[in-house]
Amino acid sequence: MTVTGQSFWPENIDVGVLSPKEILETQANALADITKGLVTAKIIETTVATDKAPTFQLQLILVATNLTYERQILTISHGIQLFYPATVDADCFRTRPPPLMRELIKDATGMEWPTDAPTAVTDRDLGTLVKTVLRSDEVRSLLTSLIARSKDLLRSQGRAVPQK
Amino acid sequence: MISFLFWNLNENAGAVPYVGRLAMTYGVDIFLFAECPKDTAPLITVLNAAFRGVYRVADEVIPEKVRVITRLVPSRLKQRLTLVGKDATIWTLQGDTLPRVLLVAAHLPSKAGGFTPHDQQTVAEQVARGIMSVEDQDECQDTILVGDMNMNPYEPGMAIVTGFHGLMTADLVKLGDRRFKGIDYRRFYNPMWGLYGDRTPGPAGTFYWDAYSPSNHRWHMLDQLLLRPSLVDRLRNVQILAGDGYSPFLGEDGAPDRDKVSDHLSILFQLEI
Repeated sequence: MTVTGQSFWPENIDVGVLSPKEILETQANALADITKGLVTAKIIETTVATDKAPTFQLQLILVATNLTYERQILTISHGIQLFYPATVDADCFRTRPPPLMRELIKDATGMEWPTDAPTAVTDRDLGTLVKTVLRSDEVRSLLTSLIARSKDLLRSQGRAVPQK
Repeated sequence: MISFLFWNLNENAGAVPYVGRLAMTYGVDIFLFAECPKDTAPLITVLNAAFRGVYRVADEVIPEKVRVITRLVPSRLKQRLTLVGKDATIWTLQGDTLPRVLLVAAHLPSKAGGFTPHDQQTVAEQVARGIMSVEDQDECQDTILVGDMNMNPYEPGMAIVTGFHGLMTADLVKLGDRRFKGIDYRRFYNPMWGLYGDRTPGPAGTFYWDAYSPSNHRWHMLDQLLLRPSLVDRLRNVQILAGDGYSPFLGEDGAPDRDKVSDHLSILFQLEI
């Protein structure tokens, strides 16, 4: 077998890779357009201390300004220098079956129920995880409620309600 | 002085009348209820029948995991941020003397719900980070953390530097941030240490677990109050309530009467803020 001229480098690695912040910024900008500003998203960056090394954390927060309500819907954590691997925490990744069910699953399949936050090795992986969170039942329900409550409030105050 | 009461009601509507009597006896400004019955209207009815002010549900936009009912005017208590998992909601409170206090109401996952001690520590670390992030954004470390932690004060999530870092004496907390492996960690004072066991007035803990287990302390301190150093000297009172001033919360066996009231006891505390 000849290897001359072949690239062994992984696919999907190119100069177009995105940082975690860029991925979140794209989604935050899109939300403001979709909701006509009723619900927006902001990104908070913090450096957090862990027992191993300082970690950089990005939080994606939904903001319903009219309702004075803010909700953190996901966090992305990664090293200070290295953006990847990045771990994602969100409601939809928190579900745990009861202990008895976990035992049954383990007995039946030999598999331990995963308890660690999912990790993205590349920007593509991270994009997939973020998409999973934004399309989760938890986020869809919350978003729908916040838009509906915001419209109700504007109506009750005699203010203009954004139309589709 | 602002008076707070945290209580896990175990979704027991039978506990509602006791809440009204607590308002009468203790003049509570802010009630924080974990596992609150879904319909809060009966609570508001009994509270307002106590004629100790006009109570309202503060988390009416989106019901939080820990429901908040207050007689303070809306401008004094505002939702600031709800964290992932709804494990904790951070409120901004305008005190009588302090313009801004952060009030964190938490209800963390339990071992009975499938979380291992390691999982619980992970969640505690995430909540601690969320709190610190808001403290940094708001440039305010006048923070109160209260809730059903589903851990005892000595468990890693409550005590480890990367978790809540809750310490048992005011002197330890006043030493300032602790530097560990080159990183500074904020401290919380956890006065519940001092209420654990039978050497102080009141019940020995907030939750009683009567199970046939070889290692079971029976009394557990799952419900806790923690304060940042700046608020330690402002704490005027903290106690576990064994009754509402009229009726006991304990059954004949000395444990919380889970059928009539709740499987948890409530924490009352007052702060000069």
